[in-house]
Amino acid sequence: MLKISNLNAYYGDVQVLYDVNLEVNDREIVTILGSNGAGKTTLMKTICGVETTRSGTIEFDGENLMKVPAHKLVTKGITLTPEGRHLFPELTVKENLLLGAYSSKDKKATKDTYDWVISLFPRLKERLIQYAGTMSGGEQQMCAIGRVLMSNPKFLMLDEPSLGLAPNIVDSVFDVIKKINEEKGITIIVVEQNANIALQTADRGYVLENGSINMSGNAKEMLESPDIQKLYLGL
Amino acid sequence: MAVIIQNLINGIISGSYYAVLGVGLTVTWGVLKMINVAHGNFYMMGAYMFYTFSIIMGFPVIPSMIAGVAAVFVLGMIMEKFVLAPSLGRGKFGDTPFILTLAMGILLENVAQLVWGETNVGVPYFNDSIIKVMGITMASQRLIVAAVAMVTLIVVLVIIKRTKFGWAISATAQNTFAASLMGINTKQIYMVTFGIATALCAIAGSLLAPIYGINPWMGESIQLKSFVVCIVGGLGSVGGSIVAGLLLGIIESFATQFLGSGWQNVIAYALVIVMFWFRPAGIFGKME
Repeated sequence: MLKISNLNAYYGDVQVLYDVNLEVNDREIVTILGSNGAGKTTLMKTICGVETTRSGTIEFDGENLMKVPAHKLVTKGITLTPEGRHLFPELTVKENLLLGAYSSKDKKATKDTYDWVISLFPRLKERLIQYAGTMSGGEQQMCAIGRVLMSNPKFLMLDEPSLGLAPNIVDSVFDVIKKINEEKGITIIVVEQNANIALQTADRGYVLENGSINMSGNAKEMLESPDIQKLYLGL
Repeated sequence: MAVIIQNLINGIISGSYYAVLGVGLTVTWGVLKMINVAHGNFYMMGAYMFYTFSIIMGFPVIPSMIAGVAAVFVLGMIMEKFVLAPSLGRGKFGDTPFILTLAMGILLENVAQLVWGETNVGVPYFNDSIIKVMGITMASQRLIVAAVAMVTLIVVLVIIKRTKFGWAISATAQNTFAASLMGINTKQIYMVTFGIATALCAIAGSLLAPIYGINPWMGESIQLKSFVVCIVGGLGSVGGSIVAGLLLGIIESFATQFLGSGWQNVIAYALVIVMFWFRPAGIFGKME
């Protein structure tokens, strides 16, 4: 579904990503691990065209995305929940959700998706007319995931969904990730610092270090790998 | 008693167009994150466009106004697209957009001098009857100003609060990055927002042209008034600008009545200074 070859990305004169090669298959959950500053967030932003100083190729269903502006990706089924959630704090939860379907012309489909999103996150139902900025971190994360789901994506990128959340909330966020993958067949990339839960949820994993991929493989096997255990699982 | 009511009504009437002008400036600030010092010049352009369509070309009042406002709306979008957009949202350009609006203002003022001449021109009142009710006298023109201004404000509020397009404007103002992830073309939102802001100026300009006359420098005092309204209301707050506009109109009206018209501007700027002392973020602004 997504094929990245020899991707380089820069912040000004500083190179952040070096020859990244990465592939995500249909209906897979892939996790990208790596420490702070490894370039994970840059990779996400580069894929969705927000960071545009880049070279290499990004192919989605055979189509080259390098020339597609960020706001057009939603209509191709590609979405990102950015690190730190980036909700619209002074719009209500309902307005945030509906903006997720901004590019959708099909009102009936939007209504159905809206009902499904609310059923995924019953908690949001109580908060619909509240300003998004006034909710707890966990609720905001749910709203952020609900918001991208509103566009009926084929491919979803989640950047640090567990950031700043209590452990039991993290579990429920990952349950939802599993559920949307199974129920709707949405292909997912999860960028995570919490390697343990990410590898348990994902099918495959990549490790990004200093801007390049230095390990990849089956998630179950990576959980067992001594290197991963030492570096990312703290065992 | 009649004097107080008379002043109150006068204040609400001038306050209503202060509010329209303030809303335009505050929306520009909220979305494009820049101060537009050419705001008053678009007000001037609105007045001249109205003059061109109604006097020079001879159309009736309502079509002239619609055509004039539409022309300024398009002019504003063109100006945004070709003058401001290249430097907006690029950190290293810093205050460039601000300086560019300064240049834009000078350009518009000089174009107006070349095209329409360096003299005052006028347009007749839309309706020159006088209304007298219980000792209160009011020119119909001023009531028309207030009515159109109020309708304009309601339309703007409804668009911003109740339509998907309005949410997209708010979303872009609150988080441009996330807005683009939603599929919102934020560059287009910048352009249309600037167009709407300039169209609001044009509405005020054509409504007031019969009362104050038209000349190439008429935008300068309006620019300052719009700033006052924006700052008192809280930069970026549409509701704040409406309240502050009405407040400024009413305060000015009473100041003129009781202290003399020379004090009108003194009071307006004193209001800003007092605001800075007690609530620097404005009435509806957020304290940070």
